[in-house]
Amino acid sequence: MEENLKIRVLIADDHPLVMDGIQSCLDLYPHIEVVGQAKTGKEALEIARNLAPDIVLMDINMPELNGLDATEIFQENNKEIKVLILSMHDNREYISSALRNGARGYILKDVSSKEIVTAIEAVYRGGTYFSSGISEILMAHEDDTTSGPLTTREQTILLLLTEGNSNKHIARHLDISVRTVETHRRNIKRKLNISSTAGLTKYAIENGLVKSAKQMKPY
Amino acid sequence: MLSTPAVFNFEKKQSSNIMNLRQKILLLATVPLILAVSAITLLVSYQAQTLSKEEITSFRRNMLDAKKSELLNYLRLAQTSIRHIYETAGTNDAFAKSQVRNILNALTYGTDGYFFVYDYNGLNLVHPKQPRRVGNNWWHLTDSKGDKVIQNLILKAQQGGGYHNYYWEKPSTGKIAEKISYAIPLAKWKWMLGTGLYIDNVNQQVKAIENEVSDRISQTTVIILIITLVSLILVFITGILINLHERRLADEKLKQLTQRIVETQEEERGRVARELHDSISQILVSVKFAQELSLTKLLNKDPTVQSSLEKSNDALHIAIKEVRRISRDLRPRSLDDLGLSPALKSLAEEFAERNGMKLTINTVAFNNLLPKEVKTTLYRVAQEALTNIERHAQAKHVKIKLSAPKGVVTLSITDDGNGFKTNYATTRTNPLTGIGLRNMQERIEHHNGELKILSSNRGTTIRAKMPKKLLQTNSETSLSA
Repeated sequence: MEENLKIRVLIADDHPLVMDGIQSCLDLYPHIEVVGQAKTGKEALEIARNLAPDIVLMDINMPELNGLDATEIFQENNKEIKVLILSMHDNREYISSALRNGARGYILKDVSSKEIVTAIEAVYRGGTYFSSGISEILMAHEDDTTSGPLTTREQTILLLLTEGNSNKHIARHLDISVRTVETHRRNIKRKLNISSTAGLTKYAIENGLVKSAKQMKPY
Repeated sequence: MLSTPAVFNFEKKQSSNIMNLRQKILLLATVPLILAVSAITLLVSYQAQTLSKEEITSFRRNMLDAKKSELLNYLRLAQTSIRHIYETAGTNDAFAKSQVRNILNALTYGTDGYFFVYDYNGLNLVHPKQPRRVGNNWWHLTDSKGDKVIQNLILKAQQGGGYHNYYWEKPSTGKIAEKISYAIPLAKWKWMLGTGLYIDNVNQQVKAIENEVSDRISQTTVIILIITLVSLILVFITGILINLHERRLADEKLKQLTQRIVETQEEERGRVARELHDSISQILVSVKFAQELSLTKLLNKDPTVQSSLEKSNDALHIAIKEVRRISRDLRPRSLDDLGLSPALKSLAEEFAERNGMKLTINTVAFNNLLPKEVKTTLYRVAQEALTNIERHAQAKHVKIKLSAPKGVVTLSITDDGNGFKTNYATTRTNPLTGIGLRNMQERIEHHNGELKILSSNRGTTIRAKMPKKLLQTNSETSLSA
């Protein structure tokens, strides 16, 4: 690393042994500093707000907001914090879902610690990284991340829209900016290939996405 | 009707649904019976009443006709017995008149049969049973009903002869009774000759018949009621017997099912245990040996320690992969993490990769709207269907479609293989055939959904529909970890 700055990493994993294993591996590299540990997705969001890490090394299976949903919210609120998924799942659906939600890289937990460091470096520099198995899986099936199913956040926003909430109201309800809501809204329309809000509402009702949004909590 | 709840829903028999159906069937059997019987009873008694009324009327008419012709005969007799005197006598022949009166006075028949003679002015000339009337004028006499008896009789006689009904004292009983008389004129003398019969006994007979008829009608009604009661009891007993039989059948099926579940569970556990033992623990043992070897080499400062450490690392890598495979085979995590659509996509992908069939899949844009058990059920249905297709169908194309039109979640799996006989696969008698299909059916029905299997020699479609109310959009599921 040419600069003296260390790469600040937050590890989010609900398994303490794995967390410690990763940390002790990363501690061997002087240019990487583990600034925090989070056991849930929610905790990762909170800690990141205070510590502003460069990279979040995110597991998928976590209680209280899983890694995928947490990644989406990072993308929404702290675009400068890059999320690198570190998971046991080599299933394509997980990988494409992670990418749709804005993850910058995806590595499997059984890769060597050296590869983890390579991935962290690549993502820190603004690139993307997939461990060898993952890129093969992605290559095998061309899947454009612009279409496909809605993310959890998009689904929540569509439900709120369907129930007649304004952008401003949705933004306040979910504690995000109105512009973010607008972006989500654009993405929803593109994914479902529907141009009007009335069309969105109709689609949601016809496909069973209707119920009280009062139960819905912001993340 | 009772036999139609066929193969698939024997599980339902336990539920209250079927009890209601039973009650409905009983109702269906009894209500029409009761209605029909009531209608028949009413109709029969009404008809019997009309019929008997007609019969009684005609009986009465016949009796009266008989009486009337009897009367005529008596009168002819009387005429004959006085003819030789009357025809030769003159208009004022007092001797002939008294002879005739004597003859008629002596002429009686039966207990109450006699002849009476009045002149046209109402003066009684002959009355053997009531001699007090003779010699008096009875022109204004009325009977108990107000009929001017003598005037009317005289009128009938003056008209050439006729019947007249009225009330008169019956000699044998001394009581007033209805009477029918026939009066003819002895015109030369301006006399009226008549005789009458009491018809109170006719009325009595009619009454007796009427009583008998109404007795018989009520008897018939009672018989019909008894038959109805017996039929109703029979219906109920049959219903209860069928119920018991069905329940016993259902119990038996349930026992078989439980046994099958236990067997499947054991089989599955055995498989998992075998896999854990055969692959994972063997690999871990090899890791342990490699580690021990490395440790020894490290102590001996053997330079090949690195390669044996690498070897153990590689083995661990394989172990991790194995665990991942086994756990995914048991239950795909993606079902919980990502939802049914992605899990189905993975399933479809693996399937297509494994056997090279062309597979298209259409899913919904929404995720995690279904409760966990329903997701699992639908996933297992798809898994079972794909397994069937792989094993038996010899299909080239498979289509999976998951949609939620108007909130009714529908999953369909279609192939273009050679199909199967749905009856055969789900037959009741052989518990070994179609366990998979039946299992699917039971799983779906548990959530009040319905599973349809359409199969022909051009392919098979399996369609599962889940009820609307299953969809949920609360944060718990949409944010589930």
